[in-house]
Amino acid sequence: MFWQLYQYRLKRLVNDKVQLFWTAMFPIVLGTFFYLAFSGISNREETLKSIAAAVVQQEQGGKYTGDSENAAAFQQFLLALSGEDGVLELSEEKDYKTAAEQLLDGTLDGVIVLGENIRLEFSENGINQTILKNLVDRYLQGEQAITAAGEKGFDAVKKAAEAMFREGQNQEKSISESNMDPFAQYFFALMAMSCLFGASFGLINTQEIQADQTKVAVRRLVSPTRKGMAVATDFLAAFTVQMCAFFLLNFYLQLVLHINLGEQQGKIVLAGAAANLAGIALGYFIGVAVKGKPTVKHSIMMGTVLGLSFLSGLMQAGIKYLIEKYFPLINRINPAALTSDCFYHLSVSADTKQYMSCVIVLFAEAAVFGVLSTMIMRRERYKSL
Amino acid sequence: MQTFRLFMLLVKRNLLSVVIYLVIFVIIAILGAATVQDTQMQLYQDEAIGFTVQNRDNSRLGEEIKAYLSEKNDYIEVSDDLSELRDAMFYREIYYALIVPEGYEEAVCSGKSMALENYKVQDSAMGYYLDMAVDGYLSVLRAYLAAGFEPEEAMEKTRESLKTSAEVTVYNAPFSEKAASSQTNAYFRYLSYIMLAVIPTTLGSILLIFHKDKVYQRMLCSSLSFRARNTQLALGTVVFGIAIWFVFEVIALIMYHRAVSAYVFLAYGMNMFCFVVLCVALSVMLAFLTKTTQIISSLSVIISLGMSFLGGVFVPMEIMGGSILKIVKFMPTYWYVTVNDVILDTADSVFQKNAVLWRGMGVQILFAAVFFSIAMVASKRRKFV
Amino acid sequence: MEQNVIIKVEALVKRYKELIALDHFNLEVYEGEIFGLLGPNGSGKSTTISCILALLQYDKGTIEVFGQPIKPDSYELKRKIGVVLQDVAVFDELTVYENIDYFCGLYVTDKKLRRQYVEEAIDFVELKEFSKFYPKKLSGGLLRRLNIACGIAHKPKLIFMDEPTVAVDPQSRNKILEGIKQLNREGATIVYTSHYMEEVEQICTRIAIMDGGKNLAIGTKEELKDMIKTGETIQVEILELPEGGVEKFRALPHVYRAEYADNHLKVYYTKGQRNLVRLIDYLKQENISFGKVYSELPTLNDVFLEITGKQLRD
Repeated sequence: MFWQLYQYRLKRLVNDKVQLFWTAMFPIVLGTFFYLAFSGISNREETLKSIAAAVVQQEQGGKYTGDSENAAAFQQFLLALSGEDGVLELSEEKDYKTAAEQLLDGTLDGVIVLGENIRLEFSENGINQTILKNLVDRYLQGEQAITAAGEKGFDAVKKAAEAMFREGQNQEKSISESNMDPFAQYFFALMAMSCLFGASFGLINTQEIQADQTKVAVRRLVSPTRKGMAVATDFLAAFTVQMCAFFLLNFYLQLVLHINLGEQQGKIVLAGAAANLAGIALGYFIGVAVKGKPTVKHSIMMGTVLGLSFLSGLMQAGIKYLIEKYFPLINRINPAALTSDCFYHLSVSADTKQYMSCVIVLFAEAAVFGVLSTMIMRRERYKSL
Repeated sequence: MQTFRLFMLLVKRNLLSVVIYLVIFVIIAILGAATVQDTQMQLYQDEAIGFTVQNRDNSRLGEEIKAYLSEKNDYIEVSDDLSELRDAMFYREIYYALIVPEGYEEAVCSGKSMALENYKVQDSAMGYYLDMAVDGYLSVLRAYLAAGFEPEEAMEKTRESLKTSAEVTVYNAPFSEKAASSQTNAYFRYLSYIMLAVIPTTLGSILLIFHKDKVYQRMLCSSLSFRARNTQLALGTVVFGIAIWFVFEVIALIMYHRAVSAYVFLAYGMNMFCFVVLCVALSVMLAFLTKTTQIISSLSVIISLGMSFLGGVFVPMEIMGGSILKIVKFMPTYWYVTVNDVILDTADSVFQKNAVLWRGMGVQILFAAVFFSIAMVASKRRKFV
Repeated sequence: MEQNVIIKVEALVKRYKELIALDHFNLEVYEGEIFGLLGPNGSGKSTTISCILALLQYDKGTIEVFGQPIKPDSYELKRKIGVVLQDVAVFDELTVYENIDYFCGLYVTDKKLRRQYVEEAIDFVELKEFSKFYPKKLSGGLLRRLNIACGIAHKPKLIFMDEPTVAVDPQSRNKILEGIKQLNREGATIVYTSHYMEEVEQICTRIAIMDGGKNLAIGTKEELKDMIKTGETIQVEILELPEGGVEKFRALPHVYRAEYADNHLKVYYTKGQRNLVRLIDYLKQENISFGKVYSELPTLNDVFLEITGKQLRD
């Protein structure tokens, strides 16, 4: 009997083409969009674009009043920073007017003016401008040190100059144990959302077991098959479909788009299972607890899932951390946040303790929603159909 | 005016669903706007980047470095725990973590070489910027030390030298310093996602009712001309669109009226109006091309999320890779966001010679016209079914 | 012979807010009957059925089926009941065969037995060639047949049919009615609700007439018709009435009313046999020339009309 019910429920769910597309394809489509949008940033070269700058002489024709040796030194300094792999892209000598125009139309990031002092001109306040300023400042500050050393004698100057440009003062280390794709967080949130959308199955299931919602429910309820059995097989069928969709998404993300999700496939599946259960159970709960037209229930379900996904950082990555700062409890119970946290912990560190606690809470939520829904369904008596 | 009245009646009936969506999404918009301030501000105003320093040496030198970096950036206290550091970086609370190892001050001051360690967000301009700042400090310090100054004096002199900086002039940056104007911008930006998420689903479902085969054919038989019926429906959709636009304008007014001037507000409002027109046209098109509410609902989530991500609503356009930028121009959201950003940049002089503004709005209307034409074609085909 | 009481409803009261849907409704259905529940739209027929099936909560009264009170968890009772409701209740995502198999499977767990039942049900409703079709591809009549098959495949002892022939073409309708009789012959008790009196007259053994949530009259066709005054109505085309006019006809035995209008004489009889023969003899006797003659027996509509003052069909 169980198998018979399960089989037919599975067929019924799978044959619902619209619902199936939604469940299986929507996350893949969205994932592809993400991939396309972010594929640029993962590219090493693109991140650090060269800063386009030009050096011009002050309009009035005045020359840099530091001695010419230093002026030359400054030009050398700039040249050293430009070139093939350099951070600067120095353009050829031009007059102030041309440079100013190019600054305003965006061709140049900044203009270095040599006059009484070294001056900088920008047309906006971006990161490139800051870096450029920093470079010039470094030169100026170093100049001061050298001058002060000069008071102590030439030897001091030599040592000072040498010390200034010594390498290896600051070593970079890698913080994550694996290659942390900066936009991995979006994919985690996507997987979380796709699991949560199991709620739509949950909703459909409740409608087909409540006599005042659909006619087939009436048929099922007048039959001798226990409601509990029907609900259980329905749930299991929904879970099966969701898990298949999850595997598909996983496969696509990891093997087709090559997003790194960590090495622990088994744990990924476990997290996905917990999340799917929670999502479906949430759908059940909405289906039985909310009284109203099917369209209203549908809006609530959609709104809830999208809202929870938003709070877990799907659209704006920083939201999750903001919530962590002010309302951490929300992050502890938001199934979308919990799910994406699971994946985060798996991909970035081998720390399973935090992962496990997320998974357990997800299972617990599934249980809570499940029990609440069951209690409501059990007591359902219809006053009108 | 029967058809119009019927349309309004249907809107009233479905009001609950519409309101639920609106409420949830407006909250998302406001929250999203609030957080954007944290992450995007860095790119616009003070270049203040979050960083942390773990002074394992407990030395004055460590503190000096920390103090120096704090002058222009935000020092965030993070405990000396790898997973906490990792977390803080993952959510971009800090871009940079500097580790001052034990015995560092002693080593440096005696001329021995010892390196600092740092963790930074991979390949980001921000990280490089802080690296440069640290290097800058150390260069100058070493210069003084090598020149023979005592550590204490060297640190002081370094501090002094570091105060030197190039003079900077920034043109065309009259945008208001207040954080709120950026928030307003973010609110309106998020609105594009919301319009796309809410309007097609709600308006589309209502229009679908008029397109149901039997209803449609019944209407064709009536004495009401095709044109009259369409006109009335058009009127209904226009009223609906204006109502939604109005609601969001009012909310914006309430929340941000102190943040920006009337001109700017007008510009935002006009831009949003164009976008609403676009969304309404999209809804009409979808209503002609699809059959059930479920399909429209699913499609609108895909379209809203997809276009929002690819159009730069959630992820700033600067971040996206080069090849994608070609596709991006086909997203209506891209144009809306471009205009939105231009309004932020040009602020009070927004209406002066602002080609981008008018072009962007024009393109949105163009999109609307395209959607609408497709809808007309689809409807004509149906007529002869 | 004392027949088994399959359904016993006593003083059933059901309210929807202020509206009283069932007003101390009583009913008894015996084994082997085709019991008709006749009444206009809104009289409470579907509500009654829903209450008997323990789908709907009711305010007062008792309901017993197969001798036991029926509740939502009366699984053993439910096993013996089959339901064919007004709306088609099938899954669009399953084929004809699969739908029947599924719903039968809710009652019959034995695979082999079920397969046999399903085949028989498909043959019974003559949907064999459509076994693999999906409901979307079926016409209204075929869908109804599918609906029936899903309801009776498990060979229930008691079958509820709620307006099963609404919007069905005459051919299919007859087939359905024949099918119902067949099921009855095979041993099922059937409760049949409808507002089409012709059908009810055609197949029901006993009939209850209800309106406004009350059971107004109950009995066989004949018993019901006996309840009313009108026996037979005879119309005669007469161009010219003799002297004395209509009064003369009123004086005839068993006549309680006589009218004349538009060259037609209408004579209403209370009862009696051979009224038509007598009337014709009388006409011949009086040398009254006449044209067409029509004789109508009372219908259930007349019964309903007399009892309630309303028509069965508005």
